[in-house]
Amino acid sequence: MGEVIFLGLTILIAISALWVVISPNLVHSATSLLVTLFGVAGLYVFLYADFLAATQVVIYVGGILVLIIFGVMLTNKIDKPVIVSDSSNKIIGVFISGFIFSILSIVVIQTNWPVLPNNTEGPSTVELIGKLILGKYLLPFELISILLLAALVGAALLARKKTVNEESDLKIKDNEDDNNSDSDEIDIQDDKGQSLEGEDLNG
Amino acid sequence: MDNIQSYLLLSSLLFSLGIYAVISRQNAVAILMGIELILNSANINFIAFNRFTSDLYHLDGHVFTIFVIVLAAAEAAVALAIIINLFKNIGSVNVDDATELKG
Repeated sequence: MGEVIFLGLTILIAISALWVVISPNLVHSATSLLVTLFGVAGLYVFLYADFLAATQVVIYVGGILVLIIFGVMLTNKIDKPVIVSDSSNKIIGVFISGFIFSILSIVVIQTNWPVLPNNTEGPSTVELIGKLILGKYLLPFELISILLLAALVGAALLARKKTVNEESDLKIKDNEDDNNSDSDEIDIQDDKGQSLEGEDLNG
Repeated sequence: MDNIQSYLLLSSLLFSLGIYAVISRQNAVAILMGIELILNSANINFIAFNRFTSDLYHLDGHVFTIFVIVLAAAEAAVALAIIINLFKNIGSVNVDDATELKG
């Protein structure tokens, strides 16, 4: 029974990952990426990683995939009925990825992996992972939390919409209020400099 | 199911499909999906090796997988912000159109 489920899961992951890669319609790609990520979560269950299966579903499917679908929807003209993505370099891509896959398969099949015989069910992984995160890996854990915070704040700042009104307001303010306090003036000049730079880049 | 080779073969398949997406796709969001496939294949490798080559009381591979998932989240957020800015500036997300710095 387990073998059958595992085989079905493998075929599901392979086909949906292939469709992610070759589908011309980007929304179809994102949807089959959903199936792929769910399949990988199922694979984690087979590897006794129950906590990671839940994490995969929550973060990948609930977070990253939603972000990707936002990206697909926000970066296309709304009047196009089908969001199409062309592919180029197909022959080179097939050659290189086929080469990598064949090399990896030969290595995987021919190597004598040092496998330990442990067929019994393990202990609960949540307790052990918690002890590792708050003990042995405390410093990487804190660092990566700061990294995630900084990356998310930076992403929100980068993707922020800078409206035309905002820039023209700043210019008017700069012309009218010449005798403001020092800090205000510095702020305004900074903003104006940034907007001018942006215009130059756009032009 | 109980041998490590099947997991490693599946993860190398996912890896090469991701490489193919990165090479052949022109849409930046599709390239991002390929990168997610590559990161997932690395995660499968981590957990498979942790399951088969250590005892069940040492879960360092799981912790590394959690770190990779967090990195993937940060990477997706920053990459999408960059892609949205690219779309605002040049009006398309085709990576072949971003030729401002090309000599």
